[in-house]
Order: sequence, then C-alpha cells, then structure tokens
Amino acid sequence: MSDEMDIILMERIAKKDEASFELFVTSYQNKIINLIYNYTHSRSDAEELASDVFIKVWNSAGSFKARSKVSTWIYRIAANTAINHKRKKQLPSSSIDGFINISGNKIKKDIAAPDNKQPQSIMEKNDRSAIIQTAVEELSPQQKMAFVLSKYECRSYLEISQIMKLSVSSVESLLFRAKQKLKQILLPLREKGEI
Amino acid sequence: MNCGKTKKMISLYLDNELKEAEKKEMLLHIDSCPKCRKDFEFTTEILQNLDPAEHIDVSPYFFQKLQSRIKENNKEFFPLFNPRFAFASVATLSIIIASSFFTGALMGDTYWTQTKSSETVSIEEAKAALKLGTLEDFPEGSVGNLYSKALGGA
Repeated sequence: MSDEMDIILMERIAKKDEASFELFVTSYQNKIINLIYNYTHSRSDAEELASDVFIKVWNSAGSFKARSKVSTWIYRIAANTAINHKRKKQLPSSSIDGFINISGNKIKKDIAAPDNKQPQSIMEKNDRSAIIQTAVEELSPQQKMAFVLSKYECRSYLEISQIMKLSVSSVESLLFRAKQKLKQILLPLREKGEI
Repeated sequence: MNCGKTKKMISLYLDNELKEAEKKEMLLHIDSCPKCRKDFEFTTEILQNLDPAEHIDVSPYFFQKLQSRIKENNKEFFPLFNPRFAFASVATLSIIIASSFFTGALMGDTYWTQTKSSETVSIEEAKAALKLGTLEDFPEGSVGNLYSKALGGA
C-alpha cells in the first residue's frame, strides 16, 4: 500500500471509519503478526499482541502526525508492544512455544525428540540452529528486537533507528553488543564441541 | 586499524552497513590478525546458522476477533452503558443520592428541619421597625402596599 493511501486510511480511521480500519488491518496484519512471531516464537502471543497493536491504531489514529511513515509508526507500536510484553512476562525458558529446557538450555522440541528419518547432517544443522536460537532468547528485549529487525526483517540501521526511535549509533551499539553476547554464550559450547 | 575497531567493523560488515573503503581496510586487518580472523569466522558462523525467519498464516477470523475486542473495550470504557454493569450502576447512583440526604439530615439543614433563614429574620425586623402586623398593613396607595400587591398579597 502506498504512503499516501496509508495516510488517507489513517485520517478515516481517526473518524472511526470501520471499513478503512478493516482495509488497513488486512494490509498490515501479516507483517505485524510475523514480526511479533519471530520475536516471541509463540503463535498465540503473536496474534494477541498484534490485536493490541491494531487496537492502539484504532484508538490513537487521530494523534498520528505524519512525521514518519505510517508503516514505520505501526512497526514502532508493534516493536514497543512486543518489548513491553517480554519485559513484563519475563518468559521462563520452558514456556516459549516450540522450545523446552534441557540442562539449562532451551532446545527446540523437535530436536529433543528428533525424527529418525532425517539425515544426520540436517539433524546436526537443526541442533546447532536450535542452540543458537536459545542464545538469541538470552538477549535483552531491546537487543533482541534490533536483532530480529536486522536479521529476520532485513532492515537497515536507519530503518531500525526510525522504528525503535533511537539514534543510528545506538542501533549500531545494540547490534554490536547483541553479537558479543551471542559469542559469549556460544563460545564455551563450541570449545566443548557441542556446536 | 586496531583489533577493538575491527570487532565493531565486523559487526557492521555482517549487517551490510560498511562502506567499500572500510570493508577493504577491515579485510586487510583480518588477513594479518589471526585473533580477529577467528572472531570474524565465529560471528559469521553464528549468523549463518540462525534459523530462517518463520512465517505463520494469519487466522481467518483475526479481524472479527479484533472487532469483538474493540467493542468489549468500548463497553469497559463506558461501563454505565454496559448491561452487565447496569445493576451496579443503578445501585451506585442510589447509594450516592441516599448518602447525600443522610449527610444533609446530619447537618440539620434539610427542607423539613430548616430554621429561620436570614431572609425571614430581615422581614420580621422590617415589620417591627415599621410597626406593622403584616406586610398587608401598608397604607393604601403606598409603595409598600403596591409592592405587597405585586407579590400577590392582599
């Protein structure tokens, strides 16, 4: 959807036009749910939090000042909603969908009980990916959001800075520290030959 | 270029945020520094082994559920109009009205216990000063008599 169309829709949503709201939700629901899903790894949380995002759009469309693109604005709401959710919930390792706790490490369920028909190389690759994903879960809520936007959404530092309302140098620093933390977690496992 | 700066450059390089000249400078340092090369290779390996972004399909009833939540939120915002809260609303209003009567009675200035107001006292003082039994005792044609008639007196 074009930026102009987005702005027109926002103006109509501010006047509580339900048809425009439905059009807006339809055009963004996929992106927002999948951004949150790649952050939380929980389908139910993704839909619940995406609903929170769209409710905020419905309630605050009138305060949108068009200082940024509508797409950046809604991604910002989504990022903040997901970060706050992670901060509040402080998810225990075992409650994340698709992951379980093994010896203090969160490992994907399908790795813990692998399908024996899978070739060995795929199982090893999955195993390594699961351990790396476990380490990603250990990043701070902000570091993780910057990481998800960079690696899963393929956003540039400038775009991440606009979404997260940070300076580009802060984003640079967040992502540098995120990588340092991943290395810090994973290096001992590598030295033990576990990855 | 020192090793500290190279670490930061590696992070930028792996996020496609490095300019061409900086890229060359970083790669030159990595070629000559085994420690930085090891760091570069390990970071690259981590990022290459990340799970790819997952994609889930949105529930076909997502918008309907969203609409229901918005309607529910609006009711909670105006609980007086919500049938679930109707009894509680009426009860609350009744308590407020009853407690205001009760407070008034305690203060001794309700309609049925009212003592002489300052207006009543002034009228009695005026009657005493003019030596009148009632306000109708003003002489016929006087201003006081006309005023009394205008007020509905005799």
